[in-house]
Amino acid sequence: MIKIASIGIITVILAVFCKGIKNEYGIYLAIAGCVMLLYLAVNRLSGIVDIISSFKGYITIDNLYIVILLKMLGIAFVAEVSAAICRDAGYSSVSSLVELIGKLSILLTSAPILEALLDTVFSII
Amino acid sequence: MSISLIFKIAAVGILVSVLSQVLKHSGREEQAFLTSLAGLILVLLWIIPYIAELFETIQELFSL
Repeated sequence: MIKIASIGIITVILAVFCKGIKNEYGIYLAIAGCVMLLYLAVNRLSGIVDIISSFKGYITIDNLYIVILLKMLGIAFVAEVSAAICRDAGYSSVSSLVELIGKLSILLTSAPILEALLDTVFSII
Repeated sequence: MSISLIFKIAAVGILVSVLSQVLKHSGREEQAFLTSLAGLILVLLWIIPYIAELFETIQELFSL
């Protein structure tokens, strides 16, 4: 965790310094720092994915739903990261578009679950 | 993938800004622009492989 904090702080310090020299290297440094921190985040996320897949043994959930859940997690993760980078660079319009498209694709991937829910509801009625 | 990437980018940033200032004051505007362009391309060359690799691991991890 200390490694992550140190990378973040060093990146911010250098980015502020480079932005002070009035050129666009502050944004490049911010992007490089984000990519590096993402790298460490992905290692932790793979642990979470293993835990989720190990839950399959206990709960008899269809494999399809867990795959859909992981897909939604991935889409949200990527959309959030790219939107944050775009907002950091100052282009909030692009970042809001990326977030919107992320939400739409999550809605799209959750369609089978909604369908299954409706089936169970109508079968009860 | 260590911290050296960030230091390299910062070094390129400082170097390019100093070079462009010197070239601007000595009257060569085009060289100043070219050096900043070269710095941009160099930084992109360093960052893009990491970004590609990162998105590949995410895609493979979440089976997107």
